[in-house]
Amino acid sequence: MKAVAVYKKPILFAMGFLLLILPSVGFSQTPPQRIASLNICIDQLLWELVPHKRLVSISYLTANPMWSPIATQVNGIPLNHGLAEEIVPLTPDVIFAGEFDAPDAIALLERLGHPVRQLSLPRKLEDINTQILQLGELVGATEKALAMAKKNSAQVAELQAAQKLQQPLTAFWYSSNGVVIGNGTLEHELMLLAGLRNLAAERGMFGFNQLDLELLLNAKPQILIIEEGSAEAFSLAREYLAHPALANAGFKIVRLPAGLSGCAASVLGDVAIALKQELAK
Amino acid sequence: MYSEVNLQINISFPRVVIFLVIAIVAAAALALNSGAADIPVLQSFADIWHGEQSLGATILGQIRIPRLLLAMIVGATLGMAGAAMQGLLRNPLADPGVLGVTSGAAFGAVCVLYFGAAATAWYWLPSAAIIGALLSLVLVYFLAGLHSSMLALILAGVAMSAITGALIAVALNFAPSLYAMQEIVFWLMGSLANRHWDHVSIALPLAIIGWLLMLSRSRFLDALSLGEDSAGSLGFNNHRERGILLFGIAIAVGACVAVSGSIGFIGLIVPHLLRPFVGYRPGRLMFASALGGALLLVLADILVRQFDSARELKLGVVTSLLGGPFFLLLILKTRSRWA
Repeated sequence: MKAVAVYKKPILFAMGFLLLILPSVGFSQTPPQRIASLNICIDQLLWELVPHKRLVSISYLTANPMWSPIATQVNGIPLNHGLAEEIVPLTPDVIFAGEFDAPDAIALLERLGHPVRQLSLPRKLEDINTQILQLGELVGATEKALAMAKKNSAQVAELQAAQKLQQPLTAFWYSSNGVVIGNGTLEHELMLLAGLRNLAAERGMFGFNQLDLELLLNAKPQILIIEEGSAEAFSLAREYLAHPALANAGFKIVRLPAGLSGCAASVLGDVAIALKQELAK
Repeated sequence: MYSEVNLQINISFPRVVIFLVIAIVAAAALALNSGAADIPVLQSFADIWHGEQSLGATILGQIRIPRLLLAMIVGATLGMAGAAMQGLLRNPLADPGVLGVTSGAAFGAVCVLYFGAAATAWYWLPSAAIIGALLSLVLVYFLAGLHSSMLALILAGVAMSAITGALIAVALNFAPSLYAMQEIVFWLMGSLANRHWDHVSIALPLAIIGWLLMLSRSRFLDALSLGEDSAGSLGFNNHRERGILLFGIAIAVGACVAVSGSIGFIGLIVPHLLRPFVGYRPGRLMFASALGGALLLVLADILVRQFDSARELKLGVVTSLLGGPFFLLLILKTRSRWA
């Protein structure tokens, strides 16, 4: 009898069959179990998204407390310095890299038949959540990724709501090497959200540009946003931010704890909250 | 000797000094007027005088004046050190930059700055730079030997420069800051951009000590130009006098390079241009070269600020562009004395 029924309703049968096997073929093609990453920022996202035992190799920078907030926790996970040699013996199911990471190593790994996924750097605020969701999907952690993205959006919205009624204040986002941050950047978007006028963008600057200290003072911003270095290691680049003329110039200096220039995706929420609190002072 | 006598120009030493001082004052006025921001300089001086916190007062008082002072201090040091080294080694090609003394100082500075020691106490930075300068100076001095040819001296200098340059690169490579490696340009080429009063206060006192040590040996250098034996028979303790001179050079050069990076060729060009005006007396030449060096570096620093580029041209680029061809010319002129 059963066999007859199948013959009579072939389409239904086929659909039922598809429904049965789809989950195991399509989406839930088992998520990669052995994950390697060449990028400190992807490391930090993966740390949140997947069980730690699935990480077989992470960037050496992630284990350096100067650059990474999770340095002390990643003890014991093998580190790589962006060399194919370090990755190949670990036979990872997938290798993640940022768009500008070690191009030679990536080309070599691909030649050797290892699957490399390169993720693009976020250039806009919305790219950040896109990146988190994309990564979540690739490692089979969609729910966690959704939660992270939601939290980010909420923190950014909070920043936006706090400043709505104010008269826009003029500001520069001043970073290492005397660089101000213009249009087309995450920093610019955050400044606008916080109700600030970005003087660098108003000068027609796009992206990251060095601005002479005299010109910066001459523009008389009301607020100067300075990112604290993730590391207080000496560099001439950071000395720009310690010039005594800045302290005497009579604008308010807002210091943010961490930089978007490092790992935007993992610090965006914190930066938004810190900016909100500092501006409210 | 005849040709040198003929070259002597009949201008008295005080006149040369007065001319240089006037030129420095004029260059300084120009330097205070050049910068990216358009500020009323005289009004800004008045604001500083009355303690007003105007924009002009900040730009002039916190940016331009310390930068100008540093240009003078560093230029004077390099000029004087060049004259002292030429007198001491009795060799017209001697110069703190060419012989690797400035990059030795830069290596010392890099070691303490990038690895955190300089932040613990103020004296680490100048001390390390001075030790670096002294080590490379003494090494070149002994490598080349006192009676050796110009070729030996230049080769020793080339080797010293290569070694210290490589050491700077190694140190910066292992430095914890991600910016460190890019900053090798500053240490090899030098710059006065964004320097401030802290840097003046590091460089100035030690530079003055170095200047005084060098100038105090003026008469020894004059005697030495007659030959070592003559200097000895005139009552100079050659060893002691040399030691003091080397020490003076190292202190002044080290303190300056620690804040400005190594700026080349000032000590080569200036003494050569001024030698005919001081009656070929190495002692006087040191003083005149200090003024000439200050003048040249202030002018070079005005020049680097004229280009509207994304990044400011490094000071050492300008001095090398001037000094390199000059160096070649000197080699051509002195070819007969080689080897």
